[in-house]
Amino acid sequence: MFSPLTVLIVLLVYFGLLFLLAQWVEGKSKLSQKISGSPLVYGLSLAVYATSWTYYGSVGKAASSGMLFATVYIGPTLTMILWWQIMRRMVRIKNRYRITSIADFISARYDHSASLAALAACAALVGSTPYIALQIKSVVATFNIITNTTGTSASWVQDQIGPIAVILMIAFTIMFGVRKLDPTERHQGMITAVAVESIVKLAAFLACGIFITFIAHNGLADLFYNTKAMGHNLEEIITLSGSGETPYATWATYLLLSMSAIMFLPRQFHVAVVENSDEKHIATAMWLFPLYVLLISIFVVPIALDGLRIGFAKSMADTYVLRLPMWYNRPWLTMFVYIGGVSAAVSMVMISSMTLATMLSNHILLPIIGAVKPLGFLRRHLIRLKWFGVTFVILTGYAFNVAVGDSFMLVNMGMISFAAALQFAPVILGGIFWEGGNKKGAKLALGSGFAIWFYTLVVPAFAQSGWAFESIWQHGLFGIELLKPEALFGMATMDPLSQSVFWSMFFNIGLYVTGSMLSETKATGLTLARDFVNIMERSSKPIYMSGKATIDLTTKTKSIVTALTRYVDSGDAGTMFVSSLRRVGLSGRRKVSLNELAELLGEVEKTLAGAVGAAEAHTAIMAADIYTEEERAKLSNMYAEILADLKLTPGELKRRVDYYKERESLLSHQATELEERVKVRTVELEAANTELEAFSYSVSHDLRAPLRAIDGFSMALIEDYADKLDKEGLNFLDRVRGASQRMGELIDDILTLSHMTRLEVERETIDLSEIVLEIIIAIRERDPDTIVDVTIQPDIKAEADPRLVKLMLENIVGNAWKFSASGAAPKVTFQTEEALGETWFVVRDNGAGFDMQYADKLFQAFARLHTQDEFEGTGIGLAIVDRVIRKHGGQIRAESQVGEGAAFFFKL
Amino acid sequence: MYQIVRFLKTRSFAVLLFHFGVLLFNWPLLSLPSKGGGTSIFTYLIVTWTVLVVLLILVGQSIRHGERSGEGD
Repeated sequence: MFSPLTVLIVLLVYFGLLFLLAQWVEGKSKLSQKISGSPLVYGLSLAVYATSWTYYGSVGKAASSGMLFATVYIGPTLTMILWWQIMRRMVRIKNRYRITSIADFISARYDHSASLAALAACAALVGSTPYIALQIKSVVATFNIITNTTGTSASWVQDQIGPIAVILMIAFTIMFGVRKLDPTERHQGMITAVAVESIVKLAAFLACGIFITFIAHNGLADLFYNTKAMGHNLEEIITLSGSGETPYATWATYLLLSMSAIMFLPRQFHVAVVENSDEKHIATAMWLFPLYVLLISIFVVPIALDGLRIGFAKSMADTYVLRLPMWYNRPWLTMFVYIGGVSAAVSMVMISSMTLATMLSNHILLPIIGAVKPLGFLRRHLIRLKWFGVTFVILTGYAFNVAVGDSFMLVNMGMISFAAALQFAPVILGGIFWEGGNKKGAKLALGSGFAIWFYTLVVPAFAQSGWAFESIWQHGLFGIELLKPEALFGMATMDPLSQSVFWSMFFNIGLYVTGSMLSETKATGLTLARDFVNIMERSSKPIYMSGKATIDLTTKTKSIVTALTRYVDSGDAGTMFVSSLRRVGLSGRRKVSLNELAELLGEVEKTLAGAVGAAEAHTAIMAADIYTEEERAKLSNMYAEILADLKLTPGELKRRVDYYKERESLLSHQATELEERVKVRTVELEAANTELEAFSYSVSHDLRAPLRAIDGFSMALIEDYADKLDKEGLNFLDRVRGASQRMGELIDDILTLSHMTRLEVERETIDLSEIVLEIIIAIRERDPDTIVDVTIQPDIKAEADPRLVKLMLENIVGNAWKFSASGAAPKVTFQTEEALGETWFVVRDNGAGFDMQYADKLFQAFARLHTQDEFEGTGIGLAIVDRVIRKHGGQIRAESQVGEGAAFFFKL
Repeated sequence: MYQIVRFLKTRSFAVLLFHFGVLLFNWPLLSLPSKGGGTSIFTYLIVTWTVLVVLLILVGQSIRHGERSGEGD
């Protein structure tokens, strides 16, 4: 129908667009982050479950076994009911322990067992690689179907489509998912691409189904009728699970396998757990995914029926989805369906090979590299190891496809793979719901489960494909009838798949429970078990956060002091210990938490290091064996959690600690230097200040004598020589006197200001109203001719220095009198007022006022807002007021308008 | 309505629904439509499945609504 080159170009363009989308999603734009963090993307990515085996194979299964195909989708729907309860636990555990794969999860639960991780990784590899072969096979087979209709000789592209597909799959997987090392093992770009592929394959399948049901026929009833009209018996086609002897057992087995597959197939675990960015997404996935699988299943039966109606061979039923649009001559629908099928295959291959590569490198290759010293250099090439892993997994799948082709094994690989995934279920579900499950039980469970799976499913598949084990398959191991793989222990009443599931689960669960109960759990394993099982408790915190004081300090004291007495006498050892206790704030405590004990030991070590050096002190404390085994394990977990929370490699952590230590030492050195400098500067400043005060005082004081002389002699001239001087001369002498008196007042004010700075504030309760009254009486005596209406609110009290406050009030009240005296009805009030939510003392007048734009200059020394002719003054008064207020730690502000008086608000 | 939403997102409802689901899609209940054969088993499965999906949509939305309003499970 299409030329090979056309199909290849369409595919390249499609995947090129997906790659650009993945690149964009991994960028930093808000929209891309919104899309990648969307619950819809998470829900759709779970549809990687629908591989080409289900995309094409479900129609094949419907043609041969009726509705049995539906179990593959109904099973996950049933699991989804409990998804919120189960998956949330797994996601929280993943977040806490930085889980990277299903093998990593099992290892983390069972005391970080490397052997369990390796066993799980091997099982996942063995179970999944043939499944990858199936995907490659579907891509190649369907490519040949849509490009080979003319009967002409195959082109180069057709001949080489297998290797081309493999190379493209390896390239896409590395580019999408393993381009760089990601400590969280999350790949938002790749997951978004998988979500888009899920939409494409659903849309393509629905397009095909809708076309056949509603365009090629007039609905479902018409299709059923037409099928019957062609002589097909619907009752024989649409059965529950084919013509087997035990339809309900087969049905239940398929259902059980599918229920577990949605969680425990390595690729499903990866997208559902490892790639989850927000546990709330699980709530969306639990309806979106069942809706997806319902929609993709609705047209399976109509497509199968139409294929049979037309007369396509039953053996070709796997490709009816593609062949029917071709038969109806709908090229673009054919191309769309083909792209949907390739999407199903490629998304499965990408996710599977990525997670398998992670397991291969982390749990198989790295332990081997650790054991074989000459290979140690490979540790530095982790990313290349993963690339190798991806290439190895896909190439092995391809080699398997080339070698076994249409064999029985490959055709049945879907369910064989599901049965392998089921073996993970007891150790994972037991691990998150039962504290009693331990490493021994898990090893026995996985070991026995996979052994029976291999013996009862893989061995017969190998035998029926004609490669090996034929004798075992037919006569049982060592010729023992009871050990026949498909009728183990004589159980011949079930179909081979059901009996395999029964026996593998019988031994898997049985040995998990008995093995766990009969063997002792190590303290470290027990702590992990409790943490896994109780992960949902609200109080469940990381181990290092739980600070319960449960460790008896008395027994620890003896061990610590004994350790110290190896280097110092018992008296000094006691002193060292007590001082360390005091420094970490544990004096008088009987019980301490592990965290506090660790801090105490660190302090003791530091104290001892002062005597014997850091290295020796560390050795001494370590050798003292102060921690119990359980405490040591908890401490180790504590560090592991801190490291995991920091998302740092141990090497990076060490570098940062070194950096911070160096920085701290530098900073503390600089701080000491700065403190020294500040001390020196303060002493210098104080000396300079004292000198300045002494200087200003003496200058002011010394100036008064000549001023008195000027004033005195001018006065003498006026009194004794008035008759000899003319009017102008007398006027000059008056001016000389006026100027010298003003200068005298100025000097007095400066001396007051200078004197006041040296005074200490001595607070006592004073009656401000009384002081203001005294001041008003004094002013009235000096200026009896001016009538000013003065109002004083009685009993205004404050805690302040009486001398300083009087000085301040003399200036403020004096100013109010002075600036209002020339008005028509001068008025001065002293009262308290509420402003800005606080109580203020206020002196208010209705005098000349001032322009508020100069308010900032009001309290500066020598700053005057009126001329000397308008109002007399030195410009020091408000500076004194400001100084007094500040000495009391109070505040002052002024409000005024020219010609409408002024108000001074202050607090002490 | 609020009571229904609260019930839908409880663990008890999930366990109940799971058991009902397992029963509805297994022997012996499955044997009833199977007797009719042909389209009856097809119709039974699709209808039951659709009802289950609708219930899951309600449960999922109830949980998300509860999470948004800070109730949790």
